[in-house]
Amino acid sequence: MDIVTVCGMGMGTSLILKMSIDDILKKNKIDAEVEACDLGSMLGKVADLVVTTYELKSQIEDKGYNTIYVKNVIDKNAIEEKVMEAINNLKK
Amino acid sequence: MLNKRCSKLLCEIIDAQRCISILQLSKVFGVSNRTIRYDLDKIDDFCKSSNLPQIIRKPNEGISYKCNSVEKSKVLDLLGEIGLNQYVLSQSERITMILTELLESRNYITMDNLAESILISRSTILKDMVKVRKWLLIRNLELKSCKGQGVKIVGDEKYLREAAIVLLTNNVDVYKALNLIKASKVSKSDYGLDKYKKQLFKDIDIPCIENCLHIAEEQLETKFTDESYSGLVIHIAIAIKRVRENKDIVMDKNELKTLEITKEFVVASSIAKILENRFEVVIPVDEIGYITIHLLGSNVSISKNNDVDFGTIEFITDNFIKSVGLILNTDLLADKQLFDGLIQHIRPTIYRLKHSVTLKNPLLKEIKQSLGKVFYAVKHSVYAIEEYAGNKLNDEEIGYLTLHFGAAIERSKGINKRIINAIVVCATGLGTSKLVSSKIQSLFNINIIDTVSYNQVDDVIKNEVVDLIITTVPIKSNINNIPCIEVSPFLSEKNINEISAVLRKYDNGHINNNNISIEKIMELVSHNCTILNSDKLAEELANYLSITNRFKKGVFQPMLSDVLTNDFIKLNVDVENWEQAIRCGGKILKSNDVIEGKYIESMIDSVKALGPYIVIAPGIAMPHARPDESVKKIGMSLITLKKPINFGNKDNDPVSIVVCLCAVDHSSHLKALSQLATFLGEKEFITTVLNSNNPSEITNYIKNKGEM
Repeated sequence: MDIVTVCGMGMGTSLILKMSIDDILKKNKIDAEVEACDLGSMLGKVADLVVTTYELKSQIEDKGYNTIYVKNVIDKNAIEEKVMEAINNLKK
Repeated sequence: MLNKRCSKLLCEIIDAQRCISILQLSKVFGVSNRTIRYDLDKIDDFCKSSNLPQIIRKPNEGISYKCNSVEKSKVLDLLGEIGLNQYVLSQSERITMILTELLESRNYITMDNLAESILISRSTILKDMVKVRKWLLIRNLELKSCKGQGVKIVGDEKYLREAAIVLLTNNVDVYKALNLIKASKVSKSDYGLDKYKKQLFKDIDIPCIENCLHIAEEQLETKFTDESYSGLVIHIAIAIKRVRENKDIVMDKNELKTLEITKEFVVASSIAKILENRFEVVIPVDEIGYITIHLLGSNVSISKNNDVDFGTIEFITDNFIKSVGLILNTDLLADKQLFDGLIQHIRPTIYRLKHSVTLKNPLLKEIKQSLGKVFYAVKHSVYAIEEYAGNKLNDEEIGYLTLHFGAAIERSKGINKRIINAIVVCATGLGTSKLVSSKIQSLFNINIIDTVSYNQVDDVIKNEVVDLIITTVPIKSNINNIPCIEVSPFLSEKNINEISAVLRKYDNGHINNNNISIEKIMELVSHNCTILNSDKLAEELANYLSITNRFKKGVFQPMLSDVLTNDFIKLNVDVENWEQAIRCGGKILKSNDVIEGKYIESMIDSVKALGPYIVIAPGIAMPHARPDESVKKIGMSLITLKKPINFGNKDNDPVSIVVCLCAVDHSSHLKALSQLATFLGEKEFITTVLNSNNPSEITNYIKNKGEM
């Protein structure tokens, strides 16, 4: 499974998200690749799941990705809930 | 009355020669502090009744035992000679003794007789009998009881002997078992039970059997490893005992035929001749076949003999290494030493498998712990061997194979210079010692001439210049005044210190002190060349020079405490809008010479272009821009706002903490960023930041917590 975290520059928010999701996957014993990138390089990437913040929703929602949006980037519990739900949906 | 743990505890305290705390002791023995205290009381009683000095308890220092050498040997003698009337047996110890009695006896034994000789009550014996029956059942033996006569073990002779060997090696390592029946005096760690086992062979001339094996070694042009050597002595001793009692083993006629054409059979026959003369028995041909099997299973032949199957075994070994390497993602095929070692090991392994001869592996638990991944890989790769031998490998055998790979992996890690000549000794001379020697070579500049088994030490010392002996098994110390260090198979910190202490005596500079620093190399390179990818260069250099990851991370991935210092923090800043807040944070970076002014504009532009997504959590903004030439190095500034400001983020406004971030690439700030994210997720940290009046309050908090 390929997961891509996205933010404007690909080095701040998206990195924090990537690290959180790496931890979450490890904790739930899920095997997946997580990559952090910026909006520009996002296009053209193959991803099963895209994770980004609400503020970038308008820029990404029409790109046809399976996307989840988070409000608080450092709230691991909320992220875990959303990501796990999305992963479980993907598995079906 | 001392039990096993008390005796060991006393030995431990005497051996320590300094104060040990109760906590340490409880860790060593894996019991609670309270239990240790109870045990110490029991030891006190024991010492008192034997007129020995008492244990010394010092508050805040621990337990020690002061005695002169006469008293010390008295203690050890007493512990060694603890009779059954002083020694409290555990259930498993009782069962071992009952089984020993039963196997020893030729006739029926009554429960009362048993109870009397082991000094336990009749009802205890009856209770233990349930477990005794179970134990025998697993080994294809049966306990036959006859009214008025007692009980007796019945079953096939082959199984009876196997049971006897299992029993003998149950609680002790094979080589210890040999020492046990060989040594005239029990060593300090042997108690009543071991002495009891010794009785089994009181009428067998062990040195004579050993002599035979030395002859066998010469004839077969081989050296038995310590384990198989001990195993052979015990097998032959049992065989002689059984032959004397007219309990012959019966072998399959076809099997015997295939055995008769082997070289080992010839050797076994000549051994049998010597034994016949010495023990005045007639050894039947089946018995010779039985000895042949054990010789085949033990033989670690060094010469490539004219084994028909040698090619097949080479092929199997090659595939085996490939498969393990594939799972571990390491190419081990180039390691000649591994290949040769495995060939030598696998050949007897196959014989053992074919004839269901089991080998004990006293290190199994440690191997599984330290080399778990390798063990797993080996376990999943042995199918070819199993298929060839037509039998399953047990974990003990897999453990030995794992050691070979563990050593190879250690070897692949290090490149060394060589100065001091050392030999490494272990039970087998093949597995453990290889692992230890690779580890030592990666830590020290030592020339390890050879890894040898216990029996070979004297030979090697005669023929080679040896400066140091490192051993994983107890050997007599100071052979020819050569320093000898006993180490754990996985080299504890203490062992490493001992070795470096010896090396320091010889000369300075034998320790591979990783003086080479990636930082320094990178500095030199960057002075003279243009670096295209500093991360990758650093990583590849670290790999090539075998410098640990910790090293390069420390250099190229700064910690939060390295980046966010007091100069980068400004508290209670008064700003009117988000733009001013970013400018304020940016200014700090600029005044510390981390960025150029252009970067501040980039941060503001990015918010204008992409929206206020930099407000990553309620009350926290993290402005940043793309890494470009306006960034000189990784930096972070933290400001708190006197009055919270709205950035336009409907979920997370208003903002009172602004962390400006600048990075030189997409990954080197990862460590610091990850720490920052963790801290920002903690309520305690946020409160500290918002309530502090001095930047050092924040940096101290980070330093204290970040070290965890």
